[in-house]
Amino acid sequence: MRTAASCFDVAAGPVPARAGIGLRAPHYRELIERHPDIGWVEVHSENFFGAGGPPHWFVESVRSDYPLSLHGVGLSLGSAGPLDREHLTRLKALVERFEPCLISEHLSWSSVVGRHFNDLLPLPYTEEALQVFSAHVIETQDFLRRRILIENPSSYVAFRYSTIPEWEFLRAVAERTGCGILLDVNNVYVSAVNHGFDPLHYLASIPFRDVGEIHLAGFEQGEHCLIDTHGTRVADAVWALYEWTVQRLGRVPTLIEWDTNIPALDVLLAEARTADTILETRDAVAA
Amino acid sequence: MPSLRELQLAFADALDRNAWPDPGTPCGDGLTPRDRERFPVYANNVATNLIEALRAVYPVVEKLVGGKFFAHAAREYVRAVPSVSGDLHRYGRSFPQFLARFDGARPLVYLPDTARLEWLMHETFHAADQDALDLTQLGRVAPDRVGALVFCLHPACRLLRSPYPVHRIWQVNQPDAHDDERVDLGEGGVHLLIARPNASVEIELVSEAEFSALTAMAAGADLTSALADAQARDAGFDAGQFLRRRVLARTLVDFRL
Repeated sequence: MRTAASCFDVAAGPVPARAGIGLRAPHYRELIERHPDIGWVEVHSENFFGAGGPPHWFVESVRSDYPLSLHGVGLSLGSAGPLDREHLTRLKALVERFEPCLISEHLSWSSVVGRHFNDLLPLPYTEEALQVFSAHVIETQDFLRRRILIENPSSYVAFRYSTIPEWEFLRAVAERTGCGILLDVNNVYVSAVNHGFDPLHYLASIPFRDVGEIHLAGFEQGEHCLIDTHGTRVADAVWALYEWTVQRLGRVPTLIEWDTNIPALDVLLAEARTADTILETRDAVAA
Repeated sequence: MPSLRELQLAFADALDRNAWPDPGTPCGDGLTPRDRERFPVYANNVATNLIEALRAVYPVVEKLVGGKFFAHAAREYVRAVPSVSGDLHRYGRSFPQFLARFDGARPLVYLPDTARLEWLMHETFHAADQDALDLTQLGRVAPDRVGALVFCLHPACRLLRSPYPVHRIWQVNQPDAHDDERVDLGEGGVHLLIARPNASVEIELVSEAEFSALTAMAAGADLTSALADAQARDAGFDAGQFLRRRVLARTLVDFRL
């Protein structure tokens, strides 16, 4: 069942099928001054939920130079209760003002009865969760009048209650709501190692026509599992999965994310160049 | 099988207790023993995200008390005060009051007001933009109606009164300040206007009379009563000069009759 949302455009303006970077406060000024050659940039929507001021002036400036993607971390589409309409209203104001090329959120939950945990918490993959999540995606797309992308999370625990594999759950959400998929290849790898499934089987199960964006980031080895810290370079194993994915899906806009121990901008740009090289190689093969 | 809501409430409860989810609860029963061991990764992420949000807003407080004590105080605050928004920038408003009662921080009597200053600067940074006051419109107001004018402050303006020289404490604890700078608490109390007159947040020391007028205006008082408040504190208060300066500095950006 597709809803009206599937007829919304996925993008306002083109998203180049190149690598972009996740932009965080330490690099704001340098990006504007240096204007490096990258395809696009992505920011966390909630960092611009204030009413105005320098953060908004910054996004305005970046938006005039690069295609901009809004990536949300706090909407909590997987919560059992109603969606936070104030949060949605703020997101809509940003969407209307900055006309992002992509809008994305996560396959997770972060709040319950008004308590917020400001983290991406794991869902049980059940029919009930699928209904709740899909209804919230539809509500969001109808409210924003834009198609959104849903990102697969990294997870550290898996519920015994789950009856649907995550990749099938994600595919079902896309089918029921008309949303797109933000495929985080690093998250697939981290969850595959943590829960013992085959990452290639996961990636092969994702319908390529729904993938509007790919994320890449670094993880670290924790005491009991891999942890998705976004604090290091992309691991070799993840680059290999990415190459495999690009061979299968074609050239998909790809983002390098880095959120803790944020390095010099040049380090991010070098990671983006590596992704660009893989994307360009795919073109050569395809040609 | 528990409902989604029951599972999320139980998950939240386990996060709050910072413990492995107990067997017999909807969350504990849903996890293998191996995954119960991994549960603290989430509790740790949640606490770290909130503590980092506090560190971003309160760098001077952190410098004053040191990183270790700040982490301790922040952890206790996170335990006591839940987040109620998906926007982390809203977290930490009551940290100043918390510090005022926090064991070990009480000897630093100026700490809560320094924290208040940092929170207000944070609010100023994210507040709405507004154009300067329309002087042509103001010029059209009939002279006998001027006293009834209600001026509006720029949405980024905040006012803070403290018995301590917190603006100086803030200045000497900036990354680019000289190490040998000291603040004498005997310098006494201050009246501060926190605003965004240009691109950045600025702290301006204002007179007690000016502070009274601005506080009255911020509360919706008309010009006559706002100026009366100021003149009660300083009989020589120059109303004309005050208005000109505050319109030019974009402290006063609108008015209504």
